[in-house]
Amino acid sequence: MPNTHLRRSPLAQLGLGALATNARGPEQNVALRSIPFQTAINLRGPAKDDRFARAVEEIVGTPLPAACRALPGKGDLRLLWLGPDEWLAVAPPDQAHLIGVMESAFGVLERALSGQHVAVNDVNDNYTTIEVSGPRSIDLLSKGCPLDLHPSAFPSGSCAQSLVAKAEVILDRDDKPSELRFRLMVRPSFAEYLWAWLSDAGQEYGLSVLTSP
Amino acid sequence: MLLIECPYCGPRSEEEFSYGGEAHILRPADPDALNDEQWADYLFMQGNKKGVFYERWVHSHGCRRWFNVARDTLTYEILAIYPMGAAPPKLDERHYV
Ligand SMILES: [Zn+2]
Repeated sequence: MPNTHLRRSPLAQLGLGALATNARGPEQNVALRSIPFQTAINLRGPAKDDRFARAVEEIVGTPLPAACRALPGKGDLRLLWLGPDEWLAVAPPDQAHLIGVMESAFGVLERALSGQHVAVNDVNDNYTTIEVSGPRSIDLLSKGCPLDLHPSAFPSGSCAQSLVAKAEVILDRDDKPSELRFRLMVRPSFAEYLWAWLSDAGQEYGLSVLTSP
Repeated sequence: MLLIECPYCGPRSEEEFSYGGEAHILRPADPDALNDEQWADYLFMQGNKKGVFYERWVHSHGCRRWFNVARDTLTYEILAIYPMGAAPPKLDERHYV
């Protein structure tokens, strides 16, 4: 369990609370939100082995997503494809018990799949999340990201590891019913830089900062 | 900027990749049997061909997987992409002056 009373968001020093509003104004076409302390669990295993695929589905509540896709699972969990044998389960903060559940389930699985590599790692503190939303999100991100983010190439439900302004990020496009929404998972040491870059690049679209959910 | 087709992620910008040098250079089976010159040859000497070249790339800012590429070093045209450990495809040589 993380020591929640001592932890500090990688963006705490920016004092975002004082800048934040609850909603995006009519002239503001892009919004940023800091979502610290998300639960993140890295999974490795043989995708082609049915026993592995079935066990993951049972634990997280979704089949393994196809390449460059993310799928919603149990609760608010999302399972992101990272590579041919690698996935990232992301959930709201303070669901550390998920790791225990997964570790014990995968312990069983590892013994069953003897000789194959299966791994479960708690990577909560390896990332912090910046949400970019609003109708000009794609224009904003495209200024610094080499991915083709056009909806025909990167619709909601797509995810990718790439660069934004040369910082390594995991991009997860997860639209709300009538709003474009991207989540950028970034290393804590790059978070302040990326936030500053996004704030600057977003000025021309009218930028707002939203409060943490 | 090249558009490189990662075998796992699809076409991505060259910016996401790192170059890994010439492919299919075998590590000597018994390094202790080599003299310094032979070992240096293995470590440092790579081809510098004008034409079809077989080389390694890694999708370092993406899925972090390695793969092989056959590329024309003059035109930058990517002729084939194939997995690590696979034999190189038979491609016609290209002759430039
Ligand atoms: Zn890739």
